[in-house]
Amino acid sequence: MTNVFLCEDSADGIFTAIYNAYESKNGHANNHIQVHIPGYNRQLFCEYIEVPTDYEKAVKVARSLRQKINGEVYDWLFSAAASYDLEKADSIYRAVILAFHMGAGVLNHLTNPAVSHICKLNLHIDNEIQHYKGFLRFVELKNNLLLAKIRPKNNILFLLADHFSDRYPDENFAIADVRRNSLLFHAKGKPVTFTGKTDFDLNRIEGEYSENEQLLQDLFKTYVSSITVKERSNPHLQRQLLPLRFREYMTEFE
Amino acid sequence: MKTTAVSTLSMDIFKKLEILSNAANYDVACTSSGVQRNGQNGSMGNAVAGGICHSFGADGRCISLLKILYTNECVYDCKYCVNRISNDIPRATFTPEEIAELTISFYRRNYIEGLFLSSGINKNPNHTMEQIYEALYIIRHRYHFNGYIHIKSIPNTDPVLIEKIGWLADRMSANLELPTADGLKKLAPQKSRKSILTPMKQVQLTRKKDLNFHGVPESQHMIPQNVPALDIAARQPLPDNTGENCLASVRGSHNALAANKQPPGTRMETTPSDTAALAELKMLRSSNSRFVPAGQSTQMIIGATEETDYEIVHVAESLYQNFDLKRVFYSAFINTTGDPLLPLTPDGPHMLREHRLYQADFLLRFYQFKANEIITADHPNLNVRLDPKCNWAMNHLEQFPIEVQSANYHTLLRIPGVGVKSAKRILAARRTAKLQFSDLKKMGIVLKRAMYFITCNGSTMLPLKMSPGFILTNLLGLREKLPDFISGEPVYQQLSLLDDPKIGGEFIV
Repeated sequence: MTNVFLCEDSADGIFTAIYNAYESKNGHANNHIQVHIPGYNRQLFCEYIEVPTDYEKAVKVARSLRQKINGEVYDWLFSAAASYDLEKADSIYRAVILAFHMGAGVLNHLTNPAVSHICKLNLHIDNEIQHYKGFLRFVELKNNLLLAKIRPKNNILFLLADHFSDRYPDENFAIADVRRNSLLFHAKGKPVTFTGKTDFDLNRIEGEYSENEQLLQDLFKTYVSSITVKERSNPHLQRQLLPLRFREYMTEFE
Repeated sequence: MKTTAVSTLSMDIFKKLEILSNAANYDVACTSSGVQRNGQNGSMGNAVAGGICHSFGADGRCISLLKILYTNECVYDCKYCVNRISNDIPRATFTPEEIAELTISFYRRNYIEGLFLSSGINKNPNHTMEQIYEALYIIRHRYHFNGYIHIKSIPNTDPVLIEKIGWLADRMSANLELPTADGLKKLAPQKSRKSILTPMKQVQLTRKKDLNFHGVPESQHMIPQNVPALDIAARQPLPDNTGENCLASVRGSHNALAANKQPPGTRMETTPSDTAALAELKMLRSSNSRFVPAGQSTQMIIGATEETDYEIVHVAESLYQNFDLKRVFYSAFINTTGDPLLPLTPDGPHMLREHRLYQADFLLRFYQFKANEIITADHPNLNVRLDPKCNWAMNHLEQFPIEVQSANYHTLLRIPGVGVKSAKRILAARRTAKLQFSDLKKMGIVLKRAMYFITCNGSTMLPLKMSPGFILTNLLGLREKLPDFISGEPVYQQLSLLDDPKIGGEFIV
């Protein structure tokens, strides 16, 4: 009988499920890992096992990946866990099996469905990160805090932290993932902190604009409209390169 | 770094920004790539090797940098230029302070990746470039800005000034304006080919020297440089830390240089006789900044003069080979001045020709093509109906089909529908497994184009007899947006057995 492991939608959750799947000695072909979402469809002739996230088990899986294979393979699997695609859990499981079997060469085994799926997820994540590095907009609040809101498909908030704290080391800024209700906060000279689901209220953080904020927003809108060459108008291309979903919080499209 | 209130930005800043960004429209480049620099406490900004696009305008062009002119006043009278002296248009000039504040305030909100500063020529080239240097100096030193800066240099600027700017900018560019010297003589009599190429050579040589000094092997000069943050502490302290005194001294030195009657742009080696200028250059050289780390680019106008694509592609190739340029940009001519010497553009700019030139340019830079493979003197213009790579493949069918399981990288790159990334993926994937057509599709190979040119484990994708006419018909049938007058088909057409689409070899180059 097939065992379906239901895990939390996080890297720790998926790695815990992988640990349990190995531990079950049920045979990999008879195991399936699935992200636990409310209202999922059950299949017949399967046993559904809920996997509570166990940090220690997850660390064990991560450690053996790093030590027995290498950090690159681990990072490649870990970052795929940020994807919005719920099929990611089983693909990561299959890729882990393959990785222990063939070592670091797994990264080149593009003809394997699990490997190519993970590559695709990572590409999507990298592209979204690249987009948000550019399309994210800060507004300056009265208390000098820079606040940005984003609504990414993938869970990329923590992957943006390095870039922006490197770019603005002396600023206090916060980036809010509106879709997942999580927040990244950077204070001058301190490491970045993350706040998860229920611990903060965006409305409380959002306050009045600083004195010059409106002026600068208007200036930027002026700039964007005047830098456009009217003779070359091509809104289709614009929509292709800057899809509508990114425009929600962009100053120039307000 | 604390941005104080936008004190210097008065309300007429809107007018200025509108005029001077609109005037900068005709500078094509808005790239922020070519240099990798981490941020640093006490300063703001970093630079990413691949560049970052921050927005896209309604024309579909990337907005990465704050692209503005310092001034649109100009003493020159280039026939094609909207800012030429004989044009009656509203004029404006920024102050260096305003440019600095706009850049910093925009950058802080993540609107932009940095600054692209160009200018009309106010009074004379040196005077204008002095102002640009001042703005640059304020941004780098008073605001400790560590992000990307692209400066457009003006022909006939003093080499000392060019070098000083080069130590603070990431990229410099000198506009070639027109593909040939004859065109330049006709349309921009105050500029000469020599005055454009001399600073380009100067920047190339100084950059090479700097890279060699830092022990970068020759083979890596053209790949994006990883450079240290501009470390203010590593510099020798300036007299009053604002840079103003320093600037004044440079201006003084320049007058001294001018008095020496050294014709500008003739010396390859800068030998500033003036001690203050020398001291400042020394200071800039001794700091840990790098000279134009992101390299140089240029741009030329396409379609204002009679040059053929053959000449343009060959000019681009020689620029890449002889001047180590990172990019050559092409700009389809838009008639903004109505000058009688210029062609009219009633149907809008010739975007398709520009597009084909960019495709040819990418073949030169990334696909190991030579200019004489892309285009020959017998057919001096690129085929508008087929992209240059397909066109090359159609003319070299004897080299196809290529077996993807065994072909080397160079050969894989020749296949239409296979790009740099997918060629690398093929190389990686075939180490572990035999490839199938379905795998190729998953790896991002564009099979609708590639299928006519490849075999996979000895078989073609479709069991069809491939004749040149068949391949051509199918390639032309692909969904690439071509204007109706080029595809030669009326918009609505009743299908008929007697239709003769006239797809032969006559327009293959």
